[in-house]
Formats: sequence, C-alpha cells, structure tokens
Amino acid sequence: MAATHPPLKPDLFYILLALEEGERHGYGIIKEVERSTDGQIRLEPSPLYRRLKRLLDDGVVEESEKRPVPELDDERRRYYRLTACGRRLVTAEARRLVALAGSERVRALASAGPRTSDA
Amino acid sequence: MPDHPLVRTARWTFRVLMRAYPPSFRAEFGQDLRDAHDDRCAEEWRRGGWWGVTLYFLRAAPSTVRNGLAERVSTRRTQRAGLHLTDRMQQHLRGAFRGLVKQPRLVGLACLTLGLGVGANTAMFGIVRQVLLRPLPYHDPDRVLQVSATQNRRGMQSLSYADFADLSAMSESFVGMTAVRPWRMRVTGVGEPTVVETAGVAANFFEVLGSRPAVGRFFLAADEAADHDPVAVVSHGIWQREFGQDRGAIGRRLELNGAEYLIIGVAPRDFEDPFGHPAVYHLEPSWFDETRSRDDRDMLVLARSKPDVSLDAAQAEVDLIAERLAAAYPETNTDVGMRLTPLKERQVASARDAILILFTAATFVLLIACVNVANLFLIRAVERHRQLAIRVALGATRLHLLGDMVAEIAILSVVGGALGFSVAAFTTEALVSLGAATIPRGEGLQTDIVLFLFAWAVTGVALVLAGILPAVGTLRDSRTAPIGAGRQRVTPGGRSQSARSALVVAQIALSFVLLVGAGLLVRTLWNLQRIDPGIRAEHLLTFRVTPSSGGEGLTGLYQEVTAALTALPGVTSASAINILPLTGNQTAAIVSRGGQPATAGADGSHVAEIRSVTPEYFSTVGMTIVAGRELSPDDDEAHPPVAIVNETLARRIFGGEDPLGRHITVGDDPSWVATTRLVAGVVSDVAQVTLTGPPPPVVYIPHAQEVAPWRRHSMVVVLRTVADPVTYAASARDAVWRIDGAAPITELRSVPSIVAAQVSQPRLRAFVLVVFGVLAATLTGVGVLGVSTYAMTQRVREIGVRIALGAQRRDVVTLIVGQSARMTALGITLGVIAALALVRLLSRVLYGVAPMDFFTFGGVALLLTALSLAANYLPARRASRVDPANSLRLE
Repeated sequence: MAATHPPLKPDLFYILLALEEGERHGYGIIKEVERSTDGQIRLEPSPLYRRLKRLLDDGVVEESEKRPVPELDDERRRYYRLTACGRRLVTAEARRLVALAGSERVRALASAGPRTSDA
Repeated sequence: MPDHPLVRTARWTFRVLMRAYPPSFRAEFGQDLRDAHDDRCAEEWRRGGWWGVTLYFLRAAPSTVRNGLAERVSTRRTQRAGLHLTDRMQQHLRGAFRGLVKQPRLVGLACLTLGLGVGANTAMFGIVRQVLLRPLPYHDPDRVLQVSATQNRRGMQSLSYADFADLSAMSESFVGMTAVRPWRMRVTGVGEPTVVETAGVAANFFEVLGSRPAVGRFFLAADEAADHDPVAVVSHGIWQREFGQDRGAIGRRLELNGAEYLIIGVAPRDFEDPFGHPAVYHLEPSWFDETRSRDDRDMLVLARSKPDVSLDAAQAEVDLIAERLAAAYPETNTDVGMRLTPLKERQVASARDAILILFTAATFVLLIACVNVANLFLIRAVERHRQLAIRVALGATRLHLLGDMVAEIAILSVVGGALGFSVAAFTTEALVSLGAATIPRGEGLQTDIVLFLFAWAVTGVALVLAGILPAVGTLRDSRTAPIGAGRQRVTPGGRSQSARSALVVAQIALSFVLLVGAGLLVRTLWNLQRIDPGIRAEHLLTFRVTPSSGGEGLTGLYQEVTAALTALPGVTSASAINILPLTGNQTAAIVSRGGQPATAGADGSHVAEIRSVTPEYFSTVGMTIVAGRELSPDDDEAHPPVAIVNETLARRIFGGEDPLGRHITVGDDPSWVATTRLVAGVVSDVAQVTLTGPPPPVVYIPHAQEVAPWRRHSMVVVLRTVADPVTYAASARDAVWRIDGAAPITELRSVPSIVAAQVSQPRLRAFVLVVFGVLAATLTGVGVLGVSTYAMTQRVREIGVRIALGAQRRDVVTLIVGQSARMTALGITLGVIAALALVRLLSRVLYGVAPMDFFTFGGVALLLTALSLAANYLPARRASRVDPANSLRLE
C-alpha cells in the first residue's frame, strides 16, 4: 500500500527520525540530526522549538516522562518522544522513500551519473 | 570559557530577543530554548572561538526574532478563532449528526429510552423536592419541634393543657412553646353557611412558628384577656375566596358557631399548618384552663428550641420534667412521657419510605436507559474504529476523536433532555390526578424551571455515564488501531461484544429488582383491596349535618331527618353516627366493667372508641349483630342506659363470658358523662382508623341517651340507596334543608369512595412501580434484542461456515439461544442478590406478603427468561436462514 500523505519536509523527517531512536531533549535533537547527516543539516534552536510545539499540538510528539540514565540526565530539560501516530508517520515516510528509491526510473537516473561501485 | 564576555553578551542578547515570542510560548519552551542557545554558544566557542560564536550569533539572532514574531501571528490567529474553534465544533456537530442519522432506529430508541428514564427520574425528584427537601415555610424551620405525649412508650400526640402549661413554665430549652387544638365550626357572616376546619390556638402560635401575616397582624397576648372581643386570623385561601383579597377584610366580623369574631389578620399564602388545613385561627382562652383534668389530652403542642440547644439536650430536659410531673400527679401522669420530634420529620415520616422507594425505582429505570444508550455508543464506536486508523494517520489527535463523541452527546442531550422534561411534566400531571395530594405536603406539586434544569443535568450525567466505556475504548484504540481494523468479522467475541453482553446482564439484573418491587406492591394492593372493611359500603351515601342550634331538640331533629330521608324514593334506610369508620377522627374514653369507674391503665379498664348512633345504624351500614339486638327508638332518656359493644371490646372486657345483660361504665368522671350502661348487643368489628390495623374496641351509645355535646350535635348521616348513591345527593340535601334550612351540609360523598381513599397511596405506589417495571422490562427486551441482532450480523460468516459444514439450522438456533441463556441466568442471579438486599426497604409498605416472596421472585425470573429468550430467538432464527454462499461472499 502506497502511503497517501504528501512527502514530509526533510528537516521535519530528520527530527522525527532523531526521536524515533528514543527520547531526547531539544538540543539532543539538534545534535542527533547533525550527526546523522554528517553535519549537512544544522538546526537552529528557534525554528526547532516552534516545530516541536506544532508536533506536540498535533499529537505526533509527546513529552516523555521517561528519562535517560541519571548520569546522562539533565533534570531541567524536557524530553520528547514520538507518539504512536508519530511513529506511523515516520514509518510511512520511510516506506515512501524506499519505494521511491526502489523505482526503476530513479535507479536508472542514479546509475546514469558517474558510476560508483555497486553491490 | 563559556564565561567569556562575548559568550555572556550573546546569551544575554538571545534572552532579550526571545521576547519576540508570545508569553504562552515562552512559558512552555522558554527555558529549553535558552538552554539550547547556551549549549550551542558553548559548542561554537569550543569549535571556533570568538569567531564561531559571532557567526552563530549573526545567523541565530534574526532567526529568533523572525520565528518569535511568526509564532505570535499564528497564536493570535488561533486565539481570534473562537472562529477556528467553532469551525471545528460545527464540523464535529455536522459529522455527529450525519453519523446519528444513519442509524435512525437505534438513535430514536436511545433518545426515547433516555427521555423515559430522565422523565421518570425528574418527576420523582419533583416529589422528593416538594415533600422531603422543601423547608417548612417558617423562620428557621429546623428548630420547630412537636411535643407529643407517650404512654408506656406508645405515642399519643396530644398533651393536657396543665401538662403543657407546666412544661412551658419549667423548661429552659425553648424560645417559646404554643398549643393548638384543631376544631370544626359553623361559619356564618361570609359566603354561604358552612362548617370549616378551625384551629383554636394560643396567642403565640404564629410567633413560635416564625411566620409573618400577609395582611393585618397576628395575635397578641392582650387579645387573650377575658374582656377582649374574640379575634380571628383567616387563612389566605378564605381571604382569596370570600373576600377577593380585599385588605378591607381586616376589621370585618365573622360568626363562628354563632359567636362574633373580629378578623385581625391573614396568614401568608405559603403558610403550612402543621396539623391540617384550618380556614380560621381563633383564640379560645376558655380552653387554656389550668383547672382542667390532666387526663384531657387534647392540646397539640409546638415548641421552638433555642439556637444553641440541641434536640438531645432539649429532650433530656423534657424527660426530666415529665418525670417530675409523673411524681407530682401519679393518678394521671404515671408512665406518661413527652417526646420531641422535629416538625418536618413528623410531617413527612409517613411518606418518606414510599417516596424513596419510588425514587430508587426511577433511578433504576434511568440506569437501564443508560445501558441502552451505552449500547448505541458502543455500536458507534465500532463504526468509528474503522475510520480511526485512517484519521489518525491523517493527523487527527485524540482530542479530535473525543470531539466527535462529545458532539454526539451534545445532540443526544438536547433531544433526550427535551423529551425527558416532557415526560416529567406529563408524569407530574398524571401523579397529581392520581392523588399526589394524598401525599403529605403533596399539594402544589408542579413542574418548574428547577425540574427543567434537573432533567438536563440528569441527561448529561446519564450520557456521560453511557459514554465513558466506549470513549475509553476509542482513546485506547486511537493509539493502536491498525488500518483496516474493524473489518474483521471473524471473531464472535471481541471486546465490544463482551462489553455489550455485560451491559445486558446489568439490564436484566436491574429489571429483575424493579419487577420484584412492582410485583410485591401489586400483591400488597391486591391484599388491601380484599380486606373486608366490616360494612357493606356499596350503595351508601353519606354527609355531615351540623344543625343550626344545639341542645334539647337534637334527638327529635335527627329522628325527623332520618325519617325524611328514608321516605325518599330509592332510599331503603337512613341513620346517623358521630364519626364514620375510616374517616380519621377519633373520640375515645375509658371503659370499664361493671359499676366501678376506673382510671386508664388500672386493672380491667380499657380505652375504647365511643360512637353515638341513631336507631337502625347497624342494619343500614350492613354490620352483623353477633348477639343481642339492634338499637331501637325506644332507647332514649326515658329508658335505662344501654350500649352495644363490638367483638373486640366484648373479648377484652368480658373474656369468654357472655356480655349480654352485664354492665359497663363509660367515662371516668362520674360528675360529667360517666354512665353505667347495660350491654344490649354485640356487633362485628369494623375497621375504624385504617384498613390494615387491628380494629379498636368500640362502644356504640344510642344518640338519644348521649350527653356529651361533641358526640351528639354534628352527625354523619348514612343512607342506603338502591342505585348509584351519588345520584341521590341533591334530593337528600333538600330533604335535610326542609327540616333545618341553616344547617351546613359537608363531606358529601359515597362510602365506597371513603374505602377507596384508604388504598389510594398503596395504589399510587403500586401503579408507579408497575409502570416503571413494565418500562424496565421493555427497555431490557429492546436492549437484548439490539445486542443479539448486532451479534448476529457480526457472526453471519461464522454461521455461514457452520451451515456449509453441515450444521442444522436448529443447531445454530440452539447454539445462539444457549449462549444468551447463560447471559440471562447470570443477570437473574445478580438480580436476585440485589433484590434480596433491597426488598428490605419495601417491608414497611407491604401488606400480607413477605418481602422475599417466593412466587414473586420466581414469577419475575420466569418472565425475564421468557423475554430474553424471545428477544434472542427472533434474530437467531433469521441468522439460521443465512445462505452460506452469500455470507462467505460478504467478506
């Protein structure tokens, strides 16, 4: 079944992806996105928190009562995690991307460029 | 290093810039945002020193301002959107409405069910409020107490004047104490001559009750002075009817039993007399005479306790005084106690049980109604479950999902509440016409805004109760619903199905309790109506005659009246008695054997009801003369005094001996009315005060030989007619008026109506409970039918498979009906347990049937089993006709 929703904006997808691994606080999300994109995407705190507020309002993200192990915990901070809905959303987007990447046309386009060593 | 001035400046600037965000945002995320900025600054410092921090600052500062302002704009937009919200609400309402309309039968049934449940409950609450909750219309009514006498722990109500005066003088617990004596008097001077209820009161009567006059003034101590003109206060009703609410009524004169009274005031409209409905209040200083015997207990006494004195403390003091009086006056006061009862307690005690029983029953009906509505919601929830996954994937939050349900509740509450209030209004009308006025404080029962609000509140509570279970399910599902859920029809059980089964079990149990209650009350009514009142009531007409003058001529007058009435065509006989059976009033005296006058409680003496009767009374009303003879016109002053006694008295005084030819002494004061009489006959017992109580001992005295004026002046005439007695009313009245044109004729009615009035409250109770029981059974039947029908549609495939595999149709029916039989059995078992616990409440209003009556319980169990089987059999049979090929294709 192809998902019916439009593609997510890349930075939103990365935020969801970062939270998919576990609960994080705001700065933790910034760090994780930076890490997983090899520094390609560095989120600004200001837009990130606006985005988090939307996600909370929409029930995609929720505040987590679960905290990391005490030595990693920063008590002041609020930790966030995906809701079931958020999880479905990120899964659906991942599926969409995989389906997209798997289509003949995309593959053909990709292999038309300078060849890399494929498996 | 993060302490570098540059870093500090950057951090400080961010804090300032963050003011661009709206306060609500800052409150929620401000701290986190600051921390994130700080962390970031520290990191840039580590990576690129002051240059890194500067670069970051140049990028982040404008972004902070831009995002802050953008957030402000979008927050303002959501806020301004009452619009936004109402849009969403409208959406929810439209959606809910569309959803409900899709299931018209189910929704209609739920609304109707809800309306009936709410209506029953609201109407009952109307009675509870009117009778039990409404405070008495006096100042600080909780402090008004009745003081009643007790003898050997038995209640006697009235105190003697001397006891009242002593108690009043000796006690310190009360602000005031007053006495009243209900009376009847002939009124002339306003309107037609008539006899009305009056109340002879002490001057401080209204003061102790704490009431203010509508017009004029109430009594003052000075009004009691012997040389003062007699004064009267009239009821608001009389003032309205006879004086057209004219203030000029004050100062007019009124004739009571021929004496003139000056009207000085009008009681307020909402005044509730504690003991009756007197039309006139008058001062009778002559009754308040300390020289009267302490045996003349004819004063009803009220007291207002001091604010700081508790009921227990006051009672302790009164007990002490009663003991002192008993010691001082052993002849009259031995074993005589005094008991304090809050006035309201006394007023409503007789009705409280019945009202609470009916209110409980109404609550049960409402609960059953809730179950039906909960069923509706569950079906809607299953429906919703199918859309759920899709909607959640599209971004619907739990709030959205709940919104739909809230919208449905809102729509149903509008319809159900309106319906409920209509049902309540109708029920109240019906109750009023069925005799709500016979309930104490029951007059003036009506629907009003409070009941309207109550109906809405109950509807709301009922819907929320009914909605909780499905709502919880929906919310739980909202996390886990897989897309495509709800299409699976394979499982016959499922959570929703088992919830619905539980609801049906609850319904059956509740109906069981209600039907048992109804059954017990119907059997009570049946038993009551079969009680033989002791007289042949049919074809008897009765009315009270109060001759315009008393004295010597009375014997002749009543002879003339009965002769004239007997002469009327269609009248076979006529006679008169001072108090008719079952009309409430009593006049008792002490009766003893032989020639010895005796005091109450002494050996061989008894308190007996005294009735004075004219000749042929017993044959007229159809009483059986067990021994001796009927009274004849010869039993007059010129002949030796005789009496007829009833069987109870004969047994008590004479035991096994033959009473004929022996003597009894009636009264205990030789100087006044005590007379020794020959027992001339024994008659059968007649129910006197209530149908159910044991008949009291009664002495019948010939009217011509009666000397006490209160037993020979105003008499009740009884006529035996050949057809419907009421048709003779006019001619009988005219016949009396031809003899005494100024004699008021009151209490005109047929004797069967008097007997029927005795069972009016049991009838009302039984009627209401039967209506509730039938309602409950119907709603339960509907509930069972709904659940089984729905279960069938869910199991179509399973049934198809079974039939395809060779199951007989009969096997299918048996399987399904068998499953429901288990449900029914569980429901009935729970019902029996609940009923066993609850019937105790009923025991006080039952007559001739045990609360745990086997036949009632068994009958109701059979009835509910039959009902439930029928409600399951119909859909099961339809399901068994399923074409297996079709049902499989449905998937």
